[in-house]
Amino acid sequence: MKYIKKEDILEGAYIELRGNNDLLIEGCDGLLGYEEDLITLQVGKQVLNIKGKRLTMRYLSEKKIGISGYIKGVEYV
Amino acid sequence: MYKLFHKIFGAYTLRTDSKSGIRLVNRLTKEKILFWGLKNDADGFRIKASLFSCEPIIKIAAAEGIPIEIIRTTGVPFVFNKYKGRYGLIIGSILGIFLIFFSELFIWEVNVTGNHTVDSQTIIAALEKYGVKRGAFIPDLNVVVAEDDFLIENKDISSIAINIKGTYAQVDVLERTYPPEIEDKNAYYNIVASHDGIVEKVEALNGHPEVKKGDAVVEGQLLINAFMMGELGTYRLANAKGNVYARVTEKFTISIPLEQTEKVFTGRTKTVRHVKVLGQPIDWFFDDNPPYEYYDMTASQEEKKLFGFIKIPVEVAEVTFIEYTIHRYAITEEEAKRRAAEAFAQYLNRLTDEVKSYECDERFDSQKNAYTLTATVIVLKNIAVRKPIQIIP
Repeated sequence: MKYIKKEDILEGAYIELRGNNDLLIEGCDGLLGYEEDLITLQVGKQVLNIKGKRLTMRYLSEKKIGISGYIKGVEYV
Repeated sequence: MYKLFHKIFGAYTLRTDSKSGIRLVNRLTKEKILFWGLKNDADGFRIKASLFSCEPIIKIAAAEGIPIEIIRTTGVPFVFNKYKGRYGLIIGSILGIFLIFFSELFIWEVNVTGNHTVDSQTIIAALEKYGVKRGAFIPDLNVVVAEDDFLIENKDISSIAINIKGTYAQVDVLERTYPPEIEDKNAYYNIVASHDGIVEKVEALNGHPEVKKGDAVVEGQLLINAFMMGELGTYRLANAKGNVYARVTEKFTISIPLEQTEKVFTGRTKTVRHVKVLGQPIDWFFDDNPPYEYYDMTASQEEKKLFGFIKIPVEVAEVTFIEYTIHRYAITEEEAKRRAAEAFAQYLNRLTDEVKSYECDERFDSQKNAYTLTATVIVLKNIAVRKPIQIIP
């Protein structure tokens, strides 16, 4: 029987990008920065930058965040 | 949707600095405190909170040592709070809203369509008897019963539909079309005289003429007989038809007194206005007793409109009293004679029959102090009228 480690299942964020206007991130641990053209998030041990224009947070919960606007890029720092 | 909800029920806009804002947001997310509308710009780091979540947010900010302030409030509770001392305004607003909803329960206007010969006002006046009128309480109105009762009482209307659309009662009617009078070919008629006279001309189209030119006839006398002699010496019954022209005497009398009266208007007028709202008169403070001894009266009614085009259920009826005095003056006999002749000339103009001749008798009545003109007018008139014959089986 093969065992799957718990960390393998839960590790990493789930990022869903629809076009370049809507972004959904699951597994977000917190907000590090919030500007109209740059939103910085803590995702596990990594930092995620969302770059764009007129970025707004549609909703924010403990592990989920929804961002809308003109998204230019998503990058791990 | 939630934005509208919070806009109505109240929301706060809170502000802090950018660095502290991020820290606060993370903390609020962890504590699952409701907030929305994050903005971070030159004006600072701003978030929006509901009426209930604002206090917990401020407590958390205080616990974290984050300076935070309320910069704006929106929503109905804050508007009421702003005017909390002004009870009149609040009561007036509530009363106004209540009146708007309450007035929606009444008919503001009755509109009639589909009528061509029967006047709209006649139909509206008839409908009032059945409760369909301005100011009627809509929930109490039984439209079906009103329609049936109206049709039973008003024979000139063959169909009616009353639709209540909001505060308007739209009434569509279909007028009754009467069939033409059909001559009963199986009925029998004599032609008799409608007036006394001297026969001038007989036109017997059917039946046997009983009179000829020059005969004097009296009212009701048989002129054309329905019974006709057949070729074999037997009588047969016909439907008498025809015209009989006779010289008929008409009388005309007029008396013109030498002492005349006329109205002289003083120039004083008084206008009284009655206001009706939803059909109910409001004239508690108006005294509509006539203010003058002698007066003429004019009345008018106007439906008021808001800003000149929005119909409202308010009618203003105006009654104007115009004062005059009675002025007595005397006229000469010549003037009385002239007036009598004028009246006789007008009478002759009104006559539809051909005037053959007339004779006038004028005299002055010293007892009545009046000039009297009596005229005998001979006219040529068709005196033939049909009279049914009763057949006894």
